[in-house]
Amino acid sequence: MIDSLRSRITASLLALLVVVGGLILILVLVAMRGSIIDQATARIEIGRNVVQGELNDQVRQLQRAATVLAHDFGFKQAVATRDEATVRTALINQGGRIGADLVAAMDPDEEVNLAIGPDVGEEAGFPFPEMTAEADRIGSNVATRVYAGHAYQIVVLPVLAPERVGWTLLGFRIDGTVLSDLAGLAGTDLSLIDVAGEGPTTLATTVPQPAVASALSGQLRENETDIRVLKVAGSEYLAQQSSVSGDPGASLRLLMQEPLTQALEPYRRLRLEVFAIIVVACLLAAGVGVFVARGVSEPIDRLVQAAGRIGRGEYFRKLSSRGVKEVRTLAGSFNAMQEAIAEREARILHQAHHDNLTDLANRVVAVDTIREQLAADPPEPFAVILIDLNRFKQINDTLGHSIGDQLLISLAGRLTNAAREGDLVARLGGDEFMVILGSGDREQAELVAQRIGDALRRKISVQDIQLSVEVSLGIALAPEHGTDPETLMRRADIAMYGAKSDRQPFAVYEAGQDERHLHQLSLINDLREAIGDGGLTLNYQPKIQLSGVGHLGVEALVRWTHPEHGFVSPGEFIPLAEQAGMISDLTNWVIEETCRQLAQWDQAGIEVHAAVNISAMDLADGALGDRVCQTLEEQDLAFGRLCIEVTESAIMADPARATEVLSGLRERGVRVSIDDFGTGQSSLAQLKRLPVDELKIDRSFVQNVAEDAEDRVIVESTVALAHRMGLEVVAEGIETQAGRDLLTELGCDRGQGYLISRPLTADQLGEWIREQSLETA
Amino acid sequence: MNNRLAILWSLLILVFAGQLHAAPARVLVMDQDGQPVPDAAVMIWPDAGTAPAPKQASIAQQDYEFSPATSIVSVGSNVAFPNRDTSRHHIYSFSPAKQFEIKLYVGLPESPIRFDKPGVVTLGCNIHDWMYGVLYVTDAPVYGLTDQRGAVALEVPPDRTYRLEIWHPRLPEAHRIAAAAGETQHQIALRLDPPVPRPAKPADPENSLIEFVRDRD
Repeated sequence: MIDSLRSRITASLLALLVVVGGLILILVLVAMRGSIIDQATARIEIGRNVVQGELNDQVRQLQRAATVLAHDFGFKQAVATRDEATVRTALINQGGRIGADLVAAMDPDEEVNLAIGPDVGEEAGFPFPEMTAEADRIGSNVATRVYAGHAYQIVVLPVLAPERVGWTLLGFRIDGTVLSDLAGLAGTDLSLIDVAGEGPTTLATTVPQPAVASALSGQLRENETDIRVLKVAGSEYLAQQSSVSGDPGASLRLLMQEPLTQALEPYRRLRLEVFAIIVVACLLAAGVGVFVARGVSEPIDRLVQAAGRIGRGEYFRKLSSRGVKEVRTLAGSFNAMQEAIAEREARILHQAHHDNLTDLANRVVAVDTIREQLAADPPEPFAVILIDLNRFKQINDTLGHSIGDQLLISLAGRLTNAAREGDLVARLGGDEFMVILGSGDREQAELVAQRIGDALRRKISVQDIQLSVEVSLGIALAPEHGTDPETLMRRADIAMYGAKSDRQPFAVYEAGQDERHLHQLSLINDLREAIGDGGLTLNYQPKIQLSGVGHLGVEALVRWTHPEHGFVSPGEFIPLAEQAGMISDLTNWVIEETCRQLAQWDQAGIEVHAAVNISAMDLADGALGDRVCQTLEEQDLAFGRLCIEVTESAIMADPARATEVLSGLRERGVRVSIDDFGTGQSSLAQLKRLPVDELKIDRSFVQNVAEDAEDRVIVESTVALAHRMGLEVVAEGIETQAGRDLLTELGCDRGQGYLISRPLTADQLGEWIREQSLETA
Repeated sequence: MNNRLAILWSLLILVFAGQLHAAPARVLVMDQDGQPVPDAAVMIWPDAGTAPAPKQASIAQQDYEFSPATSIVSVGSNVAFPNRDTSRHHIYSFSPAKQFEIKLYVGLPESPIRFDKPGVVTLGCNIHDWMYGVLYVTDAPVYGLTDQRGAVALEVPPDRTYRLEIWHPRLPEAHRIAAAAGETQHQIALRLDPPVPRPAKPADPENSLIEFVRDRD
């Protein structure tokens, strides 16, 4: 609580006031008390001087009276003649004259030895015989002494007649009355204290309680003459003790006391008043503090609560703009802040769950939805439909991302329309979409997939460009095909790939596909290793001259013998290599191995030209040309010794790119051949622009050319056309002698096929060449 | 004047004593502090001898003092107290040896006082408290007063033992010595009482007041 601003402000104000007030109080009180004590001290000082002066006067008077007595002729005579009766009456007479309270006389032989006075007991002699010696020495002896419990001022004189014949003594009693008179002169209370015995005894005092005087004297040291503040029975006194008549050896003390308690009365009243003022001021300050603090702390409390609400995610309560300007500003800022936070949080939340571009649900939501639907109780069958756009990358590359994005947005719209109520449409990324059916069996899923495919395949206009999109859809059924989102999505993906490769509008996952897929994945892995560690081999199929003279050519064909699965057909692993992005590694290996073999044959005296196949994906590799040439140079081979075979469909996938890559090769002297010609739907116009040296007529036209008139027409016109364009023509797949003869007749430059030779290992090829030369010879 | 006479008288005695083959006894009187004690009475009693005859003496009051201040006379002597001041005096003594009073007289009192008992007589004046005189009354055959050096020479018979006594007002008891015959040198230390302060003579006794009361220190 002391931490709160309010209590701090209040406490600070209070502390300040208490400190200041306390200081003032202390200063005033100390000064006032000091002044009061100073005044009392001054009174005591003056009083003491007055009293001592008065006592001195009395002594002087006493001394004079005593002198008169001592020199009275009759008295002297009486003492000298030891006339005690006369001495007694003379003493009474003279003592009475001066008002003495004690008279005495004595001769050295103590024949006369008497004392007279109210305090004198029976048989008492000269009271202070020890005083006579001093009286003899200096002529008189004056002292203040205690006699019979009373203080006396005493004078002892020698009696000279004219020789000293005895002594006389006169004394004044200082009793309460005397003391009262003195106190009246001094203006302070007086006491006569005897300090001789155990503790001080008050002989006479003007104080109503003699015990107070004794107690005060008891607190003062015997010979101390300082003025001190003392406390007796709860009351304060200012007190001073001094010896009487300047006789410090005597046990009598004159105590002067000022009752401070009384003197300090105004001081106490003032103290009470100042204290009251401070208390009132503190109360006022507390009030003001609470008022001020509330003005500050209450809005802050509200802000604190608001901040707490914001922290808990409640953004909808506005702060009122009450209070002072700063607080209003702060409240405004708080409101703006919480709106901004609310908006931002909504946006972030939306972004976390939605695709930025299409505003469809994203992969996270898709996975969550699948998981939720799988967990539904009771379980309900549903389906996951994966949609992939074919060749979307091509559209993006050729038409630009802007159009690509708009296309995706339009497609997303169509997808949403095609989906049913309760289905979730999501974009998983790139050109991949997914529709998760809220429920439905295989039949319903296929229906929806059909509808989606139809909707997406309709022509679409983006920025005045008419586009048609090919899509592949894969369906996985839950829970039949998987009980977790990952499996379902993977199997939908597999089904989608199946549809794509089978050129079907959609496909439903079939049991086992997943395992095949996994098998392919493992093959891909093994292939990667095979490329690296020589698990692949090359076979060479001769490509001989059918008509005219020319060199011997071979087509290098890659073979893979898998350590477990045995022979794997290129038709299986080459698409896998393409899929896995390893095709350029494979192509490179083939080219390097071919060149190495060519060089080896060269050394064996066999001059062979070789052709290697490259994939459509190799054409995207800008460095292909350089690498081919570098490999040839390394093996010291003329560039013309190598022919690059590209399928017509690979070229047609991206004719511009293919033209560029192939031109580069051809310009440097590497031969270029179009493989599988006649299946790729190339136009003559395109063919004209293509930088090629050779056409390889597809085996489908060659195999039955001898029997099929149409094939023959096609081959004949192709050869004629090619020759017109300055291209050589190769026929592949020659299997019969009749076919070979016809092709030769039709003007095919070279031929290749089982009739001539199946693909051979490098060693077998050497053997084959030797056999051929023997035959020819 | 009397002093001179006394000295002259003593000298004469000395001269005669010498002629009678008498040896002078020299007495030196000191106090306990080794200070010479003047005006002490030194008296000698040879084992056989007679007191001298009484004679007339005079102690005047002149200038408000006794003159001489100290005198010594034989027992039975008459002493006159002539007043040579204009003021009256009231001479008295309360000494055990002789108590007398001569009240308020001018000039020569009617009759001299006869001192017939040996002892120290202190003389005072009731009117003038400072006045103080000492008169030794002795029955000694030989006597004298010490001078300022505390010394006195007295003629004693050479072949006699003798008793020597010294008196002084501040000596509580007489100091007595028994001396052998022919012993002529005496150095005597007395234990004197301290002097009692007494009123001092005013500078001008006819005009100034005397001081009695000593104010306290």
